Amino acid sequence: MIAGDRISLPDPRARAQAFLLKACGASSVAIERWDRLPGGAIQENIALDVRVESGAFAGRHEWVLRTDAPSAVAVSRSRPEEFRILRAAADAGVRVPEPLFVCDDGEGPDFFVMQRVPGVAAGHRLSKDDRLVPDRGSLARELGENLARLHRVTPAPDMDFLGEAPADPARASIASYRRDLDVLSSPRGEAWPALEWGLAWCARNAPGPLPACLLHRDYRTGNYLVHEGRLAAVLDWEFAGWGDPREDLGWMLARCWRFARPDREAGGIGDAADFLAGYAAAGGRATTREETRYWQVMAHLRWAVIALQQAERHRSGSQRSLELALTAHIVPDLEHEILDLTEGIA
Amino acid sequence: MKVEPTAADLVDIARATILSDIVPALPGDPRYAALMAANALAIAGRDLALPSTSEDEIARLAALLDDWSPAADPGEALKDATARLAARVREGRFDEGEARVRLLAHLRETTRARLAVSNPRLLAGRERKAS
Repeated sequence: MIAGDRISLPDPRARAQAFLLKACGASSVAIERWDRLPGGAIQENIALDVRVESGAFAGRHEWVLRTDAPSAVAVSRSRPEEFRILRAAADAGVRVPEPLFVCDDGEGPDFFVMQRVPGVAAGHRLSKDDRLVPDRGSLARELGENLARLHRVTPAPDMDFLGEAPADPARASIASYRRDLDVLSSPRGEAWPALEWGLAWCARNAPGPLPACLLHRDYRTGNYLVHEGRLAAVLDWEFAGWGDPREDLGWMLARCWRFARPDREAGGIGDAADFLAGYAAAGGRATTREETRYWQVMAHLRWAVIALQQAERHRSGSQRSLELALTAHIVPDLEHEILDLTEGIA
Repeated sequence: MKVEPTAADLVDIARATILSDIVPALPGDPRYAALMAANALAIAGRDLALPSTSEDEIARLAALLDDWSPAADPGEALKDATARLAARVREGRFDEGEARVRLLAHLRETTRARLAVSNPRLLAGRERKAS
């Protein structure tokens, strides 16, 4: 490929090459590896090995290009927005893949480029294999510290694309899940009394709101990389938004994200006490057992609603998929956990 | 007379064949898809073994919904009663006292039956934990 040559074909690799040439202020950019990474039904991640000649980025780099998958549906955040969230998280000291360049030239789907971070994300491996996580207390604390740093980010004008922070996030979520269930009910008249019980319990026990901060909203095992036993980077920021910090704590501690080790409360990889101690040590608010229990219930309700929505995409015929169909069969386990938590058994 | 073997047996042998003859031969993504297909057939097999509607569940719902009389068709009755119960739970009519206790007993039983079809292994794990 000739340096500086502007290719007019909508070939993503050529487009990326031309973009990087400009973005790096280089005399030439060679993309030596271009491999689609596994996973990602909504976003597509491509591993790039890039050689840059001259300019501030001269040298060899291992990067990831993140863009919308061709089959993308109902994307919650655009790639340029996700790039800005990643920037804000990195600036707050959260471990993330360093965001480098964002492209929204309109000549194809938006994308951004970030550092490629080595590590393992797979939840079943991290929960099972002690060689990957030799010191579980230390990883749990790191996850807590890292989350506390994220929660220091508060609503600011340069992040107004995230919308206004809800005045009472718990009640706003309850109202939103009820609307979601009504929409899910409408095609066939189904109803979910156990989920309604969980929502009624949450409405009755709603805590007073805390000042809103930046939430990841999918901060759990499976969405971070562990390298040499340490937290290397938090991934998948497309659900980030303003809310109650305890929502992220409840999500990480929810039984539904413990993979092979339901006995390890912090994402199947460690103890809740270590996770919460790390959170408090880095300036996060101390939380009571009642608070974490409340937000664990909310976590299971949220995942149940999302699972039903995913299954509905299959059932309605809009996206026939075995994986989406099977997601509905996660719901009874979530219902079981909601009953245990609200009765004080779990 | 239908040709034997019918649904339940075919679903069972299809699942067993995927696991014994197909999964071991596959790498990565196709292997994952084959395991999902086997799991779907396992759920389908357990579902086929049950009546389409549970008379027990309708009876429990009728006891919770004191002013309700079921439709003649059991499927319609179950759907109607479940929707009514969900609406009343949302209204807060089962929040406290005896109503709450009776509701939770029903939800436990219903969820247990749902989980026994969707994921009996998780149900067994939970019941070991509880005992």
